[in-house]
Amino acid sequence: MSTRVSAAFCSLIAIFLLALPALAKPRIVIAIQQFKEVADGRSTKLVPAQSASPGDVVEYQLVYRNEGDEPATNAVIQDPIPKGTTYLANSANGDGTEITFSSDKGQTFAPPVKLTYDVKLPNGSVEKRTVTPAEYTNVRWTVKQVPAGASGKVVFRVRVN
Amino acid sequence: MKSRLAVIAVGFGLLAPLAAMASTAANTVISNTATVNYNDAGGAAQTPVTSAAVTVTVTLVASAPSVSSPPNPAPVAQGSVTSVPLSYTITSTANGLDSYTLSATVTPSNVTAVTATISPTSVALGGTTLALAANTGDTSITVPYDGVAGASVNGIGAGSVIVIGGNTYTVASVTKNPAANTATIALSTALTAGGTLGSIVGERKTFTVNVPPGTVTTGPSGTQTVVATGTSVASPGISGSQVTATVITVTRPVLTVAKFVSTDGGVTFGANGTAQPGTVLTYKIVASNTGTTDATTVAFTDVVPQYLTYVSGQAKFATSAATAYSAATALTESAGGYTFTPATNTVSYNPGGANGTVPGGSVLVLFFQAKIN
Repeated sequence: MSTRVSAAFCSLIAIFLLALPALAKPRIVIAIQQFKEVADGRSTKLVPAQSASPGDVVEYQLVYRNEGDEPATNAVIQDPIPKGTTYLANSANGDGTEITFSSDKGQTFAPPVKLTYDVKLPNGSVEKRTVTPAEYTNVRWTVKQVPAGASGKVVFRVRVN
Repeated sequence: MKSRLAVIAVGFGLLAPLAAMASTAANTVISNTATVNYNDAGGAAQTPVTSAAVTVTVTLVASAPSVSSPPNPAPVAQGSVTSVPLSYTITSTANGLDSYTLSATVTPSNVTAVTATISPTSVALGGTTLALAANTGDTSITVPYDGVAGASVNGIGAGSVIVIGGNTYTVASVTKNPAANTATIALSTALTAGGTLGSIVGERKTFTVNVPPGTVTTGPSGTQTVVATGTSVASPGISGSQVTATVITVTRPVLTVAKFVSTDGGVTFGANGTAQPGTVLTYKIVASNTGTTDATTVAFTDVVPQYLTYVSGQAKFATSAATAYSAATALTESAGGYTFTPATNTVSYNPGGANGTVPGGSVLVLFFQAKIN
């Protein structure tokens, strides 16, 4: 680079520095893409879905990105299991995320094995039962940190009822 | 760090498919929206963001309709009717509106082959699913919104007959609630049984298969075996037929004739006899209907044998083979269908009406006398 620093270049830096305080925060954006599983001979593949039949498997891919210039912390992505569908066991994934589920429409979340509900038995005693995946109402992914400019993807699958 | 695409563990092949019971109506829009709550580096909560909604529209899954099995009708006499009407119901088991082509196969046994006519030749049946469980006593059900305004949802509107849990109800009205993504179907009568979420709500319609009886080939009766079928127009490979075939028994009258002669004035009859010239012979002609159906317009014709002279005013008839000549009913010459034609020497008895009708298993007996020359 030339040693002759131009005035224009200096002013560019000045503008950048001035603007910095306004940008100094995280800004998360999220978009969902939906695919359905299509049997193709002996294998299955995912194709973008606009329509599906009862029984079809639909995969939702949630792509998030931090468009801010500061890391976002403790980002909690929440998605209710869409009405008319049933969550498929073990289908929720997200690299580096902690995944929890709710069976009460998002009031409480817990990892699968800890997700229980109480059943009052005929003899009056109360028994704790583990919620089956088909009973999940919401999925939640918690990402400890999303660095500025970073993006990620979390997925889950449902079966159309 | 830019792209942290997850490695997706795929283990779906191990999952058993869900029971086919629960279903979602065609045209239901399945919408999904995600939200993200997050903090800045200092732990201060930021304004949550929400994704744009993505939607999947549920498609029609053609399903074999349920076709009723009408009971076997009463036996029908050939020629008595042009066709036998069989009344059917056809009920949708699909998650949406579909049309069904109606057909019927008729398999003849000991009768001539016939072609059934079906009215109407196709029906459109609405179909949807329960979006909420329905309970006994409810006077309305909630089903998914089908994405369009109007007075019917997936082909089901006021006046439609629908089947919920095997019971039929008439629809009073349909109200759409797009905001809740549901429609409410009000019923004319309360539910007599509940239904689980996702149960199919299918429309039911009626149709008629008209089966000509055909003509019995041999003996007194034959059968036409009828199976009606409804075939999906959306998926022509999918059809539903009546489970138990309907059998139409076709009968016909079968007449046999026997003739006897008496040489003792009508006391004893036999196939043969001996008599002197001048003896009055009494002839007895028995027409027996061995079928199960009325024989109508039964008519006798008999040429008086050679060497005999017809004796006027002695003819009689009876409706039992056991009736003696003396107890039989007298016939009047040239009245009631009885005539003797001297030119051809022919006795003719064609009473018509009730007297000329011989029910299945019955007989008609004619007596007349002639003198040996």
